[in-house]
Amino acid sequence: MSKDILERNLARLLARAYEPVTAPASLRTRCLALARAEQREPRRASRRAGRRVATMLVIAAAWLFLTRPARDVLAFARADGSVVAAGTLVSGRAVPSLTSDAGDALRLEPESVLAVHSEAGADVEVLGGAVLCEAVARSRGAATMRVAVAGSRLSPSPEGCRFTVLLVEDADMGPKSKSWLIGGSALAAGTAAVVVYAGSLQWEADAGGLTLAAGQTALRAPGQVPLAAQVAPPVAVTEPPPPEEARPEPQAPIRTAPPLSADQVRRLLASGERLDQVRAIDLLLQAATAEAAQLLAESLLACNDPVLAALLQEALAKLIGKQPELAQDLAQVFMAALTGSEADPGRAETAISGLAAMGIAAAEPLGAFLANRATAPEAAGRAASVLAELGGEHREVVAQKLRSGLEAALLVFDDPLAQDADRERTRKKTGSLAWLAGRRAAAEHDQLAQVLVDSLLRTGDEPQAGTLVWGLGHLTGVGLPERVRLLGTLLRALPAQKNGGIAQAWVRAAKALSTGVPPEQFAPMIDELASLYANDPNIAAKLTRLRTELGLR
Amino acid sequence: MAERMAGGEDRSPTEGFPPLVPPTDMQKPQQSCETTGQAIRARDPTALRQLVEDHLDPLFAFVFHRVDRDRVAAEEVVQETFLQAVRSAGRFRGESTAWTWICGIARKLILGRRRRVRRRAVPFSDLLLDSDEEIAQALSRIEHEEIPERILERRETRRFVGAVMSTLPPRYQAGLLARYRDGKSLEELARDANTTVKGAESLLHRARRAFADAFPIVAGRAIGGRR
Repeated sequence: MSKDILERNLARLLARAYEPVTAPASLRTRCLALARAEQREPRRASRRAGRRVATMLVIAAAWLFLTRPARDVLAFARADGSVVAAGTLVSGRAVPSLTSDAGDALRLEPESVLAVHSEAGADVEVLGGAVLCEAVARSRGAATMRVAVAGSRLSPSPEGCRFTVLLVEDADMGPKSKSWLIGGSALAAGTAAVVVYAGSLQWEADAGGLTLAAGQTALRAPGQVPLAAQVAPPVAVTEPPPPEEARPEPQAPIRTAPPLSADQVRRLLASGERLDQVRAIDLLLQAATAEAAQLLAESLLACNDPVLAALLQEALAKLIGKQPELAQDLAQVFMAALTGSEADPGRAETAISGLAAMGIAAAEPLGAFLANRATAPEAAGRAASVLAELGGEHREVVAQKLRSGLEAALLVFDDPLAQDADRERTRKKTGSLAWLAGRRAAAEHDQLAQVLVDSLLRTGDEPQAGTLVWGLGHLTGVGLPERVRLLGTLLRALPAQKNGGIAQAWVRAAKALSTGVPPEQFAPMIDELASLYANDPNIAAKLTRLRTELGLR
Repeated sequence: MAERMAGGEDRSPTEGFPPLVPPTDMQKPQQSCETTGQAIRARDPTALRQLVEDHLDPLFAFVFHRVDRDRVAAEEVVQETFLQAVRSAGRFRGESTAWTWICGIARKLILGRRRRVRRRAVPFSDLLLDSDEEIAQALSRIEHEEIPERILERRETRRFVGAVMSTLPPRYQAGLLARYRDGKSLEELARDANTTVKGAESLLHRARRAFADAFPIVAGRAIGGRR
């Protein structure tokens, strides 16, 4: 009886309440790749066989040493210093980075799989996912790190190269898109894409080679069917070929792709299949219109996939390089995301990464955003973080944006119609701007200190003055001459300051600036001021406090 | 305790019984566990590939229900499990089945992950904590009373059945599904598994037992946990 009930219940539960959980196809591919890689490892059948193998290995090693090729063999180590044996398969989840004994660095995306000294004859082979490679410069004649991917080889130039390799696995593609994209033929080992950030490299495949320089992206290995051709349907061979004499000159197999609507491209980007996404990005880059820019930006904002996000950021940078006039459109999309992202920090982070990808092209709209009274403090902070990350070559632009942001802030305190909420918001934004100054390189601190001191001398708001002093304290790179000069400026202005709180802030600023300055360089100035204002007890009190703060007797 | 059931097949009286594989793979020629163990130990590429093929889906389900049904986390753990299994294949002694062995690796990884993300260990029995007592009671009496219709429709019931199934060895899962979901006869089951009718019956008996034992244990704990 009990068995009957159990069987009936089992049948009902399994038929109606059981949802099988199956592993995704990409995981299957990766796990099978792990098993395949094991084939490259020597087997250990028995101890005797092991000894025999060891003996042979010693002989082989000696032979290899004697007849070693000119090329050095790179050894790779994990972050903890442990060396990775040749033939080892490395998963990005377990080992996020590797370093070669020559100093080359590999950063593995969590999804990536990499083989060290694989059968491909390269130093490393990318078997899946994305890997960021930083090949260091070599002396003349020394071989660089070679990377294999999808049956092709990447050789960075001896001057060094920074690049990302992405392998779109065959198994990641659905049969429909595979057939559509490549006209029914099959991809043997997936589709590779390479993005070069600095330096250059040579990408060799059986079908040819190409050189990629900094800022260039190749979305397929040399010889792979170009995407434009992949779009076209396969040509049915229904007619005999034209006679030999009438046959036209052979041409590249590139055919005009049928134009896709924005919705179609959007669907491709959202498809979840890497090759579709890569193709959509390629099409948007070809279009290079304001609509394409907006689509790229919106896709980045909606993106949760780190590899796709990296591809979109690269595409944005390329698009701005190609069409600088699109910067304003792009920045507006990201700014809108920043402004409305209070409830979604992830979206704000993505917007920042998008702005950062735009580089200097984002500086102008960011500056305007920071100077806008209506900008929320949180969004201003995020915008400031983008400016903080701009390269040192843009120091003038950054200083100018800092100055305009602070001047706009000062106007709020001068405005008799400003509300308390406006002033409170402006104080917080001043904090972001002061923080931005401190994040810049030490070489820029002289210039930025001047900007902060100028604002400090003009503000009538005690909390804002305090924030500016805090920012000054973080400018550790201010040089001695500039410190002395700014100290002098502050000291000369101090007697005229009627607001006790602000005067106290100036004293603290003077103290911050006096760090590392020999007292004999500023003590005479204080003595001079003291004698000038000997009859004014308020000023005398300020100067006494200053002397105490600065440790002078 | 329910988790320990996965290892219960070690004590199975018919250790050499050819493992049942999911229905689509039932026609594949089967190797004995001993042979498979030797091949894995010898790092035979075909055996390692077969290890992945045979255990990927059950292992994914096993992990999935132990990492709060987080697919990304489950993928991470499963990939790392196979990576470790492939690396340490030479040390696989074959004293347990391959399933028990890789589940052991996966369990360690899941525990390590919980420690890393500083989350409390979620006992398997907590699965029912967000459901009501009626489901727990009904499922705990699976051998004695027909499960009411309304219980079958509940989302919690589906999650619970999936979780319990994931604790069973793959061949038990495959046997139960072939018999009770796909309605196959014992003869078909025996033919698919390349065994005798008697052997198939024995396997089904043990699979039913394991499934039925899991329910009251887990459901009982869940009820007790709430009281």
